[in-house]
Amino acid sequence: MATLALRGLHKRFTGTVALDAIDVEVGSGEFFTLLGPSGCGKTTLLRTVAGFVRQDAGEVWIDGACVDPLSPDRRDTAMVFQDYAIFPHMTVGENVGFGLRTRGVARAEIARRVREALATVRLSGYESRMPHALSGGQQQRVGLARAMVVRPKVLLMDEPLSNLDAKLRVELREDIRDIQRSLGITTLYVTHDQEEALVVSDRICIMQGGRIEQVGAAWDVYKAPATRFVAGFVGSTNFIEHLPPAELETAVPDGQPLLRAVTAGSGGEALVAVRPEDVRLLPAQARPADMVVVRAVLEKVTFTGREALYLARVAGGPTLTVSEARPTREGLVEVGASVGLGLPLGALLYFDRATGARIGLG
Amino acid sequence: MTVPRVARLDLWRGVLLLAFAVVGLLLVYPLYNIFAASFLDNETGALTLANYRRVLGHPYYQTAIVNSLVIGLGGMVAAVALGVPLAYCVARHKVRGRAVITTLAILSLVSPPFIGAYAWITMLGSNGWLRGFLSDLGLELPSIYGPLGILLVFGLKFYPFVFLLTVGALNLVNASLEEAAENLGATGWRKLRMVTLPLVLPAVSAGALLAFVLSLADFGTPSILGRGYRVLSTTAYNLYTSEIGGNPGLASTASIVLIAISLVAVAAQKRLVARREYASALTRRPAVRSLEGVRSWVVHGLCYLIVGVSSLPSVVVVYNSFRNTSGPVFKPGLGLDSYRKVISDVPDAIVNSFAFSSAAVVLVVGLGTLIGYVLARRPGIAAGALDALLMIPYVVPGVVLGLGFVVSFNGPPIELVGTGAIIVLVIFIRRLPYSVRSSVSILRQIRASLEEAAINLGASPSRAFVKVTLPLMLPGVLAGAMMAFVTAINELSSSIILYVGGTVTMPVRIYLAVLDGEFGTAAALSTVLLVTTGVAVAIVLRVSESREGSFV
Repeated sequence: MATLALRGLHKRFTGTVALDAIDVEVGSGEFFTLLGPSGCGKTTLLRTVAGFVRQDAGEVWIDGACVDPLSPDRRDTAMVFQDYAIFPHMTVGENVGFGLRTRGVARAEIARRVREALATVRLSGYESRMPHALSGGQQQRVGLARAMVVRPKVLLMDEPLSNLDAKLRVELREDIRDIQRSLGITTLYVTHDQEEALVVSDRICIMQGGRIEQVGAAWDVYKAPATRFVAGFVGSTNFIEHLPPAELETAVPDGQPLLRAVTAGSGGEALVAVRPEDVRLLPAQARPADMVVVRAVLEKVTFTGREALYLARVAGGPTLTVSEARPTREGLVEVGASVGLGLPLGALLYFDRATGARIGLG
Repeated sequence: MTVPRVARLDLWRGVLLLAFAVVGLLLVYPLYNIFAASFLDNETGALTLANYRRVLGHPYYQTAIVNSLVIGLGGMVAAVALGVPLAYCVARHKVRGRAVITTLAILSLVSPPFIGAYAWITMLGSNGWLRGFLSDLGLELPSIYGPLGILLVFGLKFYPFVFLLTVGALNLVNASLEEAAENLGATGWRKLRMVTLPLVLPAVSAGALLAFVLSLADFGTPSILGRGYRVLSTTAYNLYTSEIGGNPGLASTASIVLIAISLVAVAAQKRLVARREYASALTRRPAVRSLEGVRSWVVHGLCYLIVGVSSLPSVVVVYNSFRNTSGPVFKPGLGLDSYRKVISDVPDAIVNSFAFSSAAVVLVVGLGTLIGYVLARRPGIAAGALDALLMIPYVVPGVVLGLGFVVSFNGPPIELVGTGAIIVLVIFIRRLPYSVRSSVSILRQIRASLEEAAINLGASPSRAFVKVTLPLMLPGVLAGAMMAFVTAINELSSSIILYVGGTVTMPVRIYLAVLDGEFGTAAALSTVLLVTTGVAVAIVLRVSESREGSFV
């Protein structure tokens, strides 16, 4: 168990900035996830920690020591690869024992720890199988066992689940979480799947264009996104550029910040955002006091089983997505119906139009 | 702050340096000497264009240039005419004995190059049994000597390149494309002409280019079958070795013209396939038709006729080796006389051939694998430059490189002429690019993450290479080594220039024996080569996953 600190990391590849002023502190035993779209620099950051990418500036500290002078084989990190990287010419047992052999562990000890590790990933008795006989999910379990059996200071995982099918992905991510927690290994995890990140992580670091947008627990990044990018990337969000005053039907007094923001249009300072599940679908006449109400026409209804998704168009304004959890057959609203969209004041987020940073309006 | 690079003895930088040194010494330096000699006056050493005026202006040399183009283009056309139909038959129809057809094609490809010339002389020469047989049937054939005979041998020798490459490409054409063509109304010949052939054009033209360049460069066949039909390779050789005053300046100029023609051909093929390399998603394998009735007879007949005739020389050679001879004449009865004679008279040739080839293969595979690794896994400016330099041997005929070696290593600082080493080295540098290229393609199939995983788990880079990458490369490397051995032991065109009495090899001895009319000796030695080649090919077929891929 060890801490991991990244200080002022910069990396340029020809023409593009891959890492830009990255500062991160990961606590001992923490499950820390790098989340972002492809090309955001998250894999580069992970490979910098492993030593496969050499930063142009900045330092990597593991367990209180700077590891920059150390080559990748001496950093005591263990990596789980996106394409498994299981050695095809070795048995499962030899694969899992590989890191122990390079560390000069005694044979009997290797056998014991390999057996234990395979039991942990629920592959007991697979020691002498060859990898090609295993399914993708089993191969990645071998990859996980091979990495954790050396008890590395930091466990690195590079999109370990992205080559697996949906059902397996959910199953294995639970395993990864449970194993990581029971062993207490400091873990740096890379993914582009926001749901995966929310489920497994202690803290999530959202990256874009080589920069960190926000670091925080799942609840924070979802409920209190620091930037417009985070709000759009984690979960889905309605961004409201402008609401025509004529369509507003509200009991909220004039001078309320939302009204100022949205009626000012692109000339105003703030962009308003609201999550689909926070928007309320109201009967035409309802006027709750804590909401701004907008008139809209339903354009599309999608039933996904768990929820109903409505697309509602505001005349001369945006089309908003509204999600209704646990819809009832009687409650489903028909396409073409006129509705009121309730935007609860407490659920609204405001972002600076220029910088994208979240701001409070008062 | 800037992080200093980890200081560590870098094996791969050392490999790059070694590779540049080797390529510089054994390739660039000899070719530079040839190039320079072509611009120098033999007597005065002054800079001159006289050699070029002579070679390009004098009818004697113009004839050689035209003849070279005739047999180059003719060999190419013959190879395509045999290779493409055979490929289409095998790839698109349920042909019986497909493995047999492929194996026979491979065997005629790798068999010693001049065996064809020799065998066809014993079949269709003035006393040939086949000529006599056909003459009895009232069929008089033109002489085997001259351009027709050369083209016959080249066509049957080089068609497997076109065949193997085209079959590979045809197997990668997505079935939906041909079905779409039929669905839109193009069937049969129209479908073939409008869709299928254009899709495999890059492969066909690559095979055609190989056939052209190799026909142009070949020395043994035109030398044995030419009889006054002079081409550039034989002309360069004669100019250099002529007993009454060799002419290195003119020999060099002829060599440069030869290289220039090859380069033009390479550029033309590149231009032809530019924008025609199609990425294909092979979601559905192409359809394979069942054969019935007449169609079945025609297709099977065509396939077996082509591979049968191209295998005929090997059969004839083996048979001849067991016939009794008296001097140049075959006599009735079978026996082991020729082998006894070979073992008592020319054991050197056999020993030399195996020793030189083995040494060359060890060098080729050792350095080729390491260079291949650098090119595949450590790309950079230096690696790119090395890659480009390694293209050179593809367009430099063996005779030319042999001449370059003689000119470059016949005195201090490096005196190698007359040694076995010079023959080993010329084979080594000629074969090195093939080994590098095959290592690169082997490595492309081994994901780089495997090695990273090993390093990440604590293995040093060299240990990761040895424990993970090398074992995975081994089958491919072994196949490559066997192929290198086959070409090494069959090498004639460079060793004919570099050999001396003590370093004679089997191909050289066979060549001399054919010229002297010792057909029994030639047949016995050729059989030894054939059997060796066959064993090597069998090993390749055993260890490599893609049967055809290893040979082209």
